[in-house]
Formats: sequence, C-alpha cells, structure tokens
Amino acid sequence: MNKSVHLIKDKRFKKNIIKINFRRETNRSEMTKLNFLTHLLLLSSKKYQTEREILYHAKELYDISEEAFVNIYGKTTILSFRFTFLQEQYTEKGNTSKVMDFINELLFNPNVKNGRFDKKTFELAKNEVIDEIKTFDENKGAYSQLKMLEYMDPDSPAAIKVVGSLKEIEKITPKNLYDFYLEVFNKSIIDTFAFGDVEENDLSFLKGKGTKKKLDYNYSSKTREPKKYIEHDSINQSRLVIGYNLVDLTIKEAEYALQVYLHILGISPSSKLFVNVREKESLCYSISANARYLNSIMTINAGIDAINFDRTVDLINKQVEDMKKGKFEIKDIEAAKLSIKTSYQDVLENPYTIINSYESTSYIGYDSIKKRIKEIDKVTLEDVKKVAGKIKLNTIFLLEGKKK
Amino acid sequence: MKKITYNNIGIDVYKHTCKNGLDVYLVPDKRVRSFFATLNVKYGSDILKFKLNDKIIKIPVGSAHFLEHKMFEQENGITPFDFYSSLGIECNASTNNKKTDYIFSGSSSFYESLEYLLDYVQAPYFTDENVLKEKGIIKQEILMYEDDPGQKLYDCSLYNTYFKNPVKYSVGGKVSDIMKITKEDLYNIYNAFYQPKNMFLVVTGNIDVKKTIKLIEENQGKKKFDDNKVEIIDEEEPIEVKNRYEEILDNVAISKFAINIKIRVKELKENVPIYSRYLSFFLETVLGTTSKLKEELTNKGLITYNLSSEIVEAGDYSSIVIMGETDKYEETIQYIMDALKNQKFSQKEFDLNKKLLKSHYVYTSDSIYSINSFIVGQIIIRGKINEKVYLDVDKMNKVEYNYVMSQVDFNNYGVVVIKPKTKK
Repeated sequence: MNKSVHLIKDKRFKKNIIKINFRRETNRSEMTKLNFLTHLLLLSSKKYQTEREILYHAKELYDISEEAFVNIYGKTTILSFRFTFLQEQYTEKGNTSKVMDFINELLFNPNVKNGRFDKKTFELAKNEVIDEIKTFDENKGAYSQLKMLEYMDPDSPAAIKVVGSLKEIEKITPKNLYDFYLEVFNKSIIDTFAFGDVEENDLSFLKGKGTKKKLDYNYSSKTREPKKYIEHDSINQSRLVIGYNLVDLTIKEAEYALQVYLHILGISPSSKLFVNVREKESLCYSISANARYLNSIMTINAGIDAINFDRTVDLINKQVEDMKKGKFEIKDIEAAKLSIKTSYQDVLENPYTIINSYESTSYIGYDSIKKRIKEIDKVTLEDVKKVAGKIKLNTIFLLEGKKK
Repeated sequence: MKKITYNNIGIDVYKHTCKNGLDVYLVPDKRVRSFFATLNVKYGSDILKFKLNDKIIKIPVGSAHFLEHKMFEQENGITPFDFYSSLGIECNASTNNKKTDYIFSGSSSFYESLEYLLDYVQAPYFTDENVLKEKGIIKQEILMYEDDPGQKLYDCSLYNTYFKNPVKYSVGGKVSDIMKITKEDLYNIYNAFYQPKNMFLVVTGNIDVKKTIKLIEENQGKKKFDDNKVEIIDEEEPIEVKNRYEEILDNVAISKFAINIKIRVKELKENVPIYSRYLSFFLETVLGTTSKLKEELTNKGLITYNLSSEIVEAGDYSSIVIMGETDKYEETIQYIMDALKNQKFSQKEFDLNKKLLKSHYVYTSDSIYSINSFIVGQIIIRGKINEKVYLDVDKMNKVEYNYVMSQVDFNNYGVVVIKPKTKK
C-alpha cells in the first residue's frame, strides 16, 4: 500500500484527474531549472521522441490533457504534473491502462542518452523557457504585483519569479539538468491525487518513489514604516499595488475570520473597496484584496489613472482603517459568510478544486471544505476586528503610466 | 414544455416558450447542489444601426457593453450586487459581439434569485448622472485591455480586415467612443432588443423544472412589453481586406503577428451550416499542436509554444485569425501561408478530429457551466439548439470538407505585427 497516493473516489463526473506533486524546499536558485523541467518533460520521452508524437498519442487517448506547473507555497515549492482524461465508460475498454502507461512514460522514462537529456529536446525546451521569461513582464498586472513584493521583502518566497531568469538559464546544460531531474524525482516528497474512477492498482507505477521528510510552509516578512515606490512605464493604465503584513495570524484566523474580513473589504462587488473606490468615485474598473497566508501578506490591486494616485490611496487607506475601527455591521458579516459558503459549495463540485482542497488539508492542515462550511458561521464581529488589527501597511507601489 | 435529449452525452433539456415569447431552457442536473442561470439578450456589439418603429437609430461603438454595465443601476438605489451579495449569490454580466448575458450562480435561494434576475433586467433605470458616472469606470476597463498586447493584436487584426462590419470594433469601444454615449442611446437599444422574444433564459444545475417554469410564467405574466418593430440595418461589406499590412510599435519583449483570412460565407452557411466545424478540423490539422507545420516552425527556431488560431463569425463573413509570437515574423508568416495553401489531409487525421470532437462534447457535458454556455452558443450562432451534435459528427465527410475549403481564398488576408519599441 502506497500511502502517498490519495484516492478521491467520485463518480459524479465523467472525467478522471491524476495530479502528481513533487514537493521540496523553496530555493530561488532552482526555479529556472524547475520551470525548464515543466517544458522539457512534455516535449519528448524514450518512446515518443517528439512533442508531435506525444500530442498525437494524447489525442488518440480521447484527448487526455497534460499540464505541468510550479507553485510556491511559502517555504515549500511544488512541481506538479496534472493529467485529465475521460473515464473508461466514455472511451473504450483498456483506455485507463493506456493512460497510465502514457503518464509513466512521460514522467519516468525521459529521452536521455549517456546521462544527459536529448540535445534537440533540450534546445526546444530552452527556447520556450526563454520566451516565457522574456514575455513575463508584458503582463503589467503580474509585473506590478511581483515588483511590489520585491520592494516589500526581497527575501520572501512570494517575491520569486516562478518562470526563472535569463541569467540562470545560461548555466543549464543537458547534463546538469538531468542530474537535477534525478535529484527532484528521487529526493522530493512525491504524492499523487487521483480523482474520479481510478483504482489503487492503476497507479502501481508510482510505488516506492520519492522520499519522506518534513516541510515547513509559513514565511513571515518583517514589518516596517510604510514606504512608497513609483516606477514609470508608457502604459495606458497605471497599476497600483499595496502590500500589508499579516502579523501573527493563526491558521484558524486565516481560514475563518480573515476570509470574512477579505469579503467585506474587497472581494465581493458589495465590498468597501468596490463600492467606495469604484462605484462611488469611478476611480477604477478592477479593485480587489487578496491574502497569501503562507507568506503572511495581504495585497490590494487596482488599475487607475496616474493623476488619481493620491486620492485612490487615501480612499483605500480609509477603508482599511474603517475595518480596524470595526465600521461594519453584523449584516455584512452574515452576507460574507453566505458568499463564502457558496464558493465552498462550488469548490466541492469542481474536480480540480476538490483536489486543491485535499492538498491544502493534507499539506498545510487546513480544515476540510465540509468542515469549513460549518465552522465559518462561528466567526463574530470581534474576530474580524481582531484580524483587522493584525494587518499592517508595508508598501505602496505604483507602475505609473500616461496621465490621461 | 418539450423534453429534448442530447444523444450520447446525457443532457436533458426542457424547453418552454412563455406567452410573451421568452424562451426558457432548463437542464436539471442532480449530481450537484449548485445552479447557474443566464439571461441572454440576442444583442451584442455587432449591431450599430437599426430601425425602431421606422425611425433609423445609430448608436456609438461600445454601447452594448455600456448598457450591460448600466443594467446594474436600479431606481430604488439597491443594485443587483447588493441584492445578490445579501443572499451569498454570485452575479455578473458580459457582452460580446453577438450577445449580452446576465448571470447568477449559487446553491441556495434559487427562486428569489431567478425572480430578481428577470425583474432587474426588465427594469431599466438610466439617468444622465448614472451614465456619466459609469464613463470613468469603463474608461479604466478599456485602458486595461489596451495594455494587453494579445488583445491589442486581435482587435487591430479585425479592425484592419473589415470596412463596415461592426465586428471591426472592439466590444467595449475606445475611450473617445464611450464619451459620446447618452441615456437616450441606451433606451433606444433597450426598447429595440431587450424584449422577451429577443431574449432567452438557460438554467442548469440542481433545479425543479415545474416550479421554475411556473415562477417564470407568473413573473412574465405580470409585466407589459411594448410591441416595437425592429429591423437591423446591415451595411454591405466588400470582400477585400481593408488594410493588408500594419506594423505597430509597443511595449513587448518579442514581436507578435496576426494573420486574418477573410472568407465570404453567405452561401456557404446555407449549404453547410456546420462549415466552421470543418474549418476547425482544418486549423487543428494544419497548424494545431500535432501538425507538421508546428513541428517545422519550432525545429527551425521560428516559434516556441505560442501559435494559436480561431474562427470569428461576422454575418456574411468569417475570419480565420492566426496569432503567433516571434521576432522572425516575416519568414514565419510566409511559411504558414505556404502550408495553408498546400494543405493535405489524410483520412486518418480526419477521423482523429472526429474522435476529438466527440470527446470534447463529453467534456462539455460534465459541468453545469459548460453545458449552459454550450446551449447558449448553439442558440446564438445557429438560432436553435441541436441535440444531435454528437451523432452529426459521424456524418462529417471529406466531400463536404473539400467543398468548404474550396470557398476559402488564401490570398485574401491581412497581417498585423506588434514590434518592440526598443529593438529594430
């Protein structure tokens, strides 16, 4: 019995999903290589020497989709491979077994000769990674978000560019990348989430792989006197990102009172930010508040006109201050709880988010979604006010575009 | 009420037409507790000129989207956002070139939510003040899209391809367009197109069919609608591509190109209503992920993973839009155009496409959200639902395929390139 396989039996849907995670400590210098692997392993294998062959075979398996990505969760980084395919009854007899062979082939039988990755595959993957790194900054929202996090705390895992860097990529060779692959595939914690109509036997190829160790997740940045940074760019819309520290927040507060807090402040269209900054003052189209508990950070993002910078910041500050003062009502809390329960119900009815919730329960120790639906009702006004008091302004960043 | 069953993919649709002409499609799905409702208006940004009771009306670009925002304004000051938030229901709305939709989803308070949806979309409240207020918000929405190079490339490609067809304009319009919009424009559109017979409701998820129909009939029975005479005015679109080449300098790291092949489909549409499915087969085979072309382009280092294609339907015309990312765009475009003209398509590849399309329908039938948009899409594009889509795949054949492809003139195309400002 392989304990690192989590079977989620669920026959409500027509698809199966297999997600294989390689968990390791977050290490900035590894990011480019990890991203490289997400590209390279889906481009060729021993049996399917080209991407075209792989994808052709994927189509023959009734359009199985294969995805690879890297996510940073505080001090832990996860390299994931996710395969989505139709349950056998919607395909033909033997399809699931062929899918397992396919997954095994792509991940565990790479195109390697003499202890190094195939040169041609390596070059193709390298071109992809270079393009991905170069175009990352074209997305001004993502760029501004990362910039703010760097200004806030350059050492935070949240400030790491997941795609990697051009400087690092030049150090990577077919040989050292293969060595890195062996290291990741043998020395990470490997576990698998199998959703739908999949049996333990189907996953026998995963037996005995990986290692066991304990990983930490939580990272906290230091608080400080708030600082303001402005960068210029010839964009049409300026991007405002404000960063806050979550100081000494407990996991229970993060799961419950913080969720209610975020709804009232800036998630729902009836939130303080949406109503007061967008609807009443017409200062923006998009505005929202988000938190990353594992990095102890909250951010507020808005797209604005540069000339309205000061006014928008003042208004946002006022909303955050009002939360601290408890200027919200029981009915706001009740509405937030209803919204949160609705979104949790949605989580329980989507195969991808069901897997995510199993991950966060087993990795971080969050309560199950079913438990959260019940427990959220216990949050009080005092709880939300207490959380509001643990949120400290750290950094205001503006990517300033043309003044219109 | 009529029950319609989609063959092979297990979707049962209950169709009911209300006395006032509003069509209702209900798809009960007891696998889940949630529900998803969309109230759709057969009106999008593609209509800029029409006759309303014999009076010719011209409206500014971006009006359909502007009106969608303004439906959230209610006379009593309580907005749909307020109402739905208090119930824990998600609500939203969106506009594209062919339709506008108003949606909600959740897992409790279904009947209240549905009644409210019908009520707020059927109670416009536009004033000079609330129209003015929205301009600041929509301006920021437009500027946000203008900073997205992929969106800019796509918009520019359509703008350059068409002379008069409104598909040439982006759905939201430009900032200068929306500044011209008045509450009179919005009321004209509303009176012409937001009529029950020009709308339809689709609800998927955990619902009770009989109770839902009863609620809708009672709700609609209480309301009166004007019987306005409406005629859409289309302008004749020439077959040529308006502007065959343009280069734009922008904030990008790598150049991007869009090829837009303009196809006249007026007759084709009548002869082969599913012509776009054949075009999709063609695109998937000739430049999709498993195409020889894609492999050659990557092996030559011309492109990496960013090569995409789509079909845009625009009245008597359709466009094949191909977009990619490379600094060697001249060579790449030449390569692609040569491959498109010399396409070869084996029976094996044809059959694989059929298998893929069937799998796609099964995936679509697996969520209340994708089922809903699938039904909406069929009604908007083809005018009605087609429960035989899965079986129709078996009827697809090379003869029809060849006929469809014979209608495509691969020399009738335009190109847009976005280049980095700093590089030569």
